[in-house]
Amino acid sequence: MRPALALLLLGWLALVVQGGLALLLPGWTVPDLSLLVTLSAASALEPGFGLLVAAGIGLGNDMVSSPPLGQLAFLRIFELALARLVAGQLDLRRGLPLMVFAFAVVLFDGLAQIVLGRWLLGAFPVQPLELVGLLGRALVSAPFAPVVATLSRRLRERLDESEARRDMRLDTRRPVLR
Amino acid sequence: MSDFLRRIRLPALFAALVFGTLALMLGDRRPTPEDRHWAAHALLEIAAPVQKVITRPVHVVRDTWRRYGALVDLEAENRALREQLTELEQENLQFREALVASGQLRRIAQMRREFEVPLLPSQVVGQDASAWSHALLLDRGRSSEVRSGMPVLVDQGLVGLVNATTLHAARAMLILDRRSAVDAIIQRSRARGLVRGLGGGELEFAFMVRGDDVQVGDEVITSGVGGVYPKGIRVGTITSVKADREQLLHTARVKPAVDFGRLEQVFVVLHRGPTMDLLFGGGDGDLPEPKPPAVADGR
Repeated sequence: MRPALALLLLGWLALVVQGGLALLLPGWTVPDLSLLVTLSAASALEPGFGLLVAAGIGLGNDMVSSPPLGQLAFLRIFELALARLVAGQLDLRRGLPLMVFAFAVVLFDGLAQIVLGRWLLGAFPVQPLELVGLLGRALVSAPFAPVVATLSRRLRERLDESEARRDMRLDTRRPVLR
Repeated sequence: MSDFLRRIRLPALFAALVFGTLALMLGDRRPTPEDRHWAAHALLEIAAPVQKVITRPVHVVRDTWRRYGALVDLEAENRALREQLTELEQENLQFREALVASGQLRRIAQMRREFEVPLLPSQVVGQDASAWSHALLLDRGRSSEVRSGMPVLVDQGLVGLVNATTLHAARAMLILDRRSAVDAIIQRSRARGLVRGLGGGELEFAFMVRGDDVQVGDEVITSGVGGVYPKGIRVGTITSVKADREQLLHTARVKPAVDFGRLEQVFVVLHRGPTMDLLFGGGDGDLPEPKPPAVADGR
């Protein structure tokens, strides 16, 4: 439970950082950190908690963005499921496969938003330059994927350790039988 | 039985989340009274101050550099501005004379008083980080009487529309966003049309053809029709006209008047038009009557 909450908070923090960076840098140069946290949740958490965290991060993303509420949460759930599926075939703990996968998912996310936008809003014009921007965004995001994954894993390990220490402390209270 | 439940738990959770988010999406594809979803805006409330802290140091450095640059060019700019001021004063004098002569000045002053509404300065603390939508996060919310449906502008022109608020923060959808539509007119010819966001850095002006009334270089301003945006706010400049003789509805590309990449401070118009009042409900939209401005009425 605690690792899931921690990752959810990390995902929301990523969103806030992303929003701040987007104000200072061109949009395509800002890595999709919240999406990367979602991907890292696929390997760092149990499936059920992973889904809840993905939905939570997506909903948070929906709050600070202007697409219809629920759109990004919907996509994050699918992206987490996709990450779990791919993790069965590829070792996503290694840097290069994870970077390639993150690149593909950022592209998938952008294209899926166009499809959903067309479906929900009727018209969703996309400029060629924006597609180039999406490619750039995917390229910028990919190298951050191993960093975010390591951070999530460390966070999980640390919380597990502190939980284990707490259990040990509880154990010492038991009467010692000689 | 318990084994079966354990086995379907995960697919059931997946299905519930997918259908839940799908339902949310379908319910929110048109603007709704979002102000009422107080729980849904918790992150927005938290995000504003945190993003402010993140962006402040960079703003300080950027401002200092800009000030230094400005200081270097100050003398030349000062001279040029003085010359421009003299020209404009002359021009203004001629316009005033013409208006007084036609007896319109008093009527214009009266009209201005009627249209004048309080503007609330607000700092931009964050920008939409998603790939396809365009929104700003502002540091003023319901505690400063900001409501969904209020227009946002800067001295250069129209920025967008507030579409979500919390107590101390608000989200404004930019006119660049694909969901944005602004009823506008060409200042020169008064040709009316609709300015839509294309998602990128440009806008599209769709208009009915009545001769050659839209040309490259024309200024596009808000028409005031629809009761969403006040009349006469600059939207942008026509950069190209797509002429297709077989089509009744022509389109033109518009370069926005506002440089959206450099927005630091914006003004929220503390008045919501009748359409927005109907759309967002009057409950939280009971704003105080706009105070008459302290300007000379030209008498």
